[in-house]
Amino acid sequence: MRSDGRSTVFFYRLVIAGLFLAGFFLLVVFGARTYRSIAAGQEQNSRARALLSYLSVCVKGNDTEGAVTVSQTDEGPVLVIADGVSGYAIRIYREGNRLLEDYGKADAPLNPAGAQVIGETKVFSIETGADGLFEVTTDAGKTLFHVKCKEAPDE
Amino acid sequence: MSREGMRNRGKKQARPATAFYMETLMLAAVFVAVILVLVRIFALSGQMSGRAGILTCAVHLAENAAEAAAASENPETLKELLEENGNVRLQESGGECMLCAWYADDMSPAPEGDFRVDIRWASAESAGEGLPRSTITVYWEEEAVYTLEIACRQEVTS
Repeated sequence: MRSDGRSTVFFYRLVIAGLFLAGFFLLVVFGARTYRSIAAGQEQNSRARALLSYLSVCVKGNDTEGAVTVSQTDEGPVLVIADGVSGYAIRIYREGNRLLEDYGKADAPLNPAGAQVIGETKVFSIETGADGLFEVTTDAGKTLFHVKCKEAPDE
Repeated sequence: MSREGMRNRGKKQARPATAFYMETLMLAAVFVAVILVLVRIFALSGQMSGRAGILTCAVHLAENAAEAAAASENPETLKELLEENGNVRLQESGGECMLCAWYADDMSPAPEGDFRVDIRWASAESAGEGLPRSTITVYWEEEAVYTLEIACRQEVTS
């Protein structure tokens, strides 16, 4: 009788310990999955802001007469944002799957080796519309920016 | 041993077992409460992460609408700039002009999308001496997520 009582208590303790371990294990798995989805969402948000809003900020900071132009290369379009009248410019272009930004003389060749990586994108296209509206398309979507300073009319 | 002694001995054996079961039940109850609180926290954090993604998209859609409005002289021009796949509707009521543009979750133009960008166009005549102020409101599933007020400036030539 005594051994039966002891085995019942032992079995009971085993079940309780197993339930605790199972609950702890499920909690850890659920927490890890939640953290992974949150980290992925945060990365996606940061990528969208880098590929979209950063271009608009670059243009707004250098919105002067005729500052924003688009040139074409074998790799694709290049967004050239002149830095005032210094003769230097910010050039934004795609090489491979990366969107790059470099700073150099406006008429100098592109320097991908010394460029800063803005983000990863397989698509980079620029459309110019009427009244100074530019439409830039990347993997993260489309961004519009309006250039307020137009070229001065010929006298 | 007397009968009373044997009875007392049985009670003493029963008390430790009863105490054990009670303590185990209390421990299990506390453990379940802790798990429920942590699961609630995890679910809440996931929900906030989803809201952050929606807000990021809403801010960007509002930025695009503001840039297009700055490049437009009238609501019809703004409609032409934003319209793609028939996702823009222009309606006038009571002297006010309202544009509604719909976008999908990936910010692509979609007439049946969950995002709706409402642009209340303010004409120069209504502004008087000041700058005309337009209001851009972004809705997600009919809930206002982000509101942006813009004042369109005149063309600048140097």
